[in-house]
Amino acid sequence: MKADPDRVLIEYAQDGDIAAFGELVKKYQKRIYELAYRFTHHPEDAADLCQEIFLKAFRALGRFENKSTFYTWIYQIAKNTCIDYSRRRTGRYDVAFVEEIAPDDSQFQSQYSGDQAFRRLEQVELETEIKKAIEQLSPRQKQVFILRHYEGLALREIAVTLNLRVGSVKAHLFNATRKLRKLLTPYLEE
Amino acid sequence: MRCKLAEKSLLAYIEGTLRPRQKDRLEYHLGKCPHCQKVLVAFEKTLQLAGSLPVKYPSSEVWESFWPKLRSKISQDTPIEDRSWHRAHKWKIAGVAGMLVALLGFAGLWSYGLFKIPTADQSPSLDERIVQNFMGDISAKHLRELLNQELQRLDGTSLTWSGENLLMEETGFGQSTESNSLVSQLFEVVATEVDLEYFEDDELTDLVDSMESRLTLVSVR
Repeated sequence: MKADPDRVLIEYAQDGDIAAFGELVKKYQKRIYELAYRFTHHPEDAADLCQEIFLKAFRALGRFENKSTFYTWIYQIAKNTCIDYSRRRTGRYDVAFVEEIAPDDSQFQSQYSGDQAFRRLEQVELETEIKKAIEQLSPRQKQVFILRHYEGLALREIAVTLNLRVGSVKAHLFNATRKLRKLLTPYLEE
Repeated sequence: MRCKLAEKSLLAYIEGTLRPRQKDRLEYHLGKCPHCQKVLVAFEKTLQLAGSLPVKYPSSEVWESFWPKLRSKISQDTPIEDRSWHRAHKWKIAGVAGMLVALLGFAGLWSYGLFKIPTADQSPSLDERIVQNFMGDISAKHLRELLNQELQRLDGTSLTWSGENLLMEETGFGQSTESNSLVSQLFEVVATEVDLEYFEDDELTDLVDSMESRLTLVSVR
């Protein structure tokens, strides 16, 4: 196995050096944030989820044994925390949270002009519709879709992470894609 | 190849993970089916659209205060587990764990009746008898053939299904009744042997009904 470049920082952190853990956080917070964002679609929520992930990692740091790299280890914690998050959100879908990211007109007019503003608005509208569509997937479909298409995990890895059979993962992916296709139909023909 | 089956292979086709023979069959079908060609393009565009969604980062204040905020939470939190304590006491921990395992093992054997005096109500439940009979009479391979025959009858194709997980989540079968419990046990066994995926709800309903009647027949026999 390749030596973990973070080994020294981990050892310091395990011995109680919070600043060393801070270095690890700074190194990986962007990548972990990006995973959290895929599950929340909201920057502040993603930042909160990211805090939860690092806090869990800190609490479990004593059990980290250099069997994998620090990133592999924390990514596993992040995946599980995000999956728990998407389960907690079941049935609490709220479109307001996607609408709040839509820019108001005055902000737009000051930043863009004419066609540029129109194109940018169209883009924002499209992004909002994609997020809404993803939010309408079942929790399982959403988890599988995110892990496959944003995180690039292999079907077998997803199956292990979610404790499913590979066949189930394929079925959820198929159903998720079919549902997204239906919800995004107006935008597919352009 | 039928359209329904072709559609279900499209994702694997887009990702390039179809086996050569399946790929050839799908491409032959696509060559003469405008409907499936449209679905293929729509799937590709859907994945492209969803994949184009950018990550939005929080404001610079939130980003800059990320570590200070986390640090303050950590300071109020319990300290990291002291590894030296674990090292120093590892044999004691192993001993206690071993005793616990032995105790649990004994409790398990007790609950299975190995250390008990047999009583009249030790006989297997109806559920157990039916499953035992069924699995005793028919091998998983044979069961797979039966299932395929059933699928041929229902749909005219050899569809695939992914077993219990899909059943539970997509249709809500196996909630409480005795027959659903039997069917779910059966699917669990079969799912390890059969590489079948993707059912529509009505296909599942038909299949489960048919499986239930088979189970009833077996229990009578």
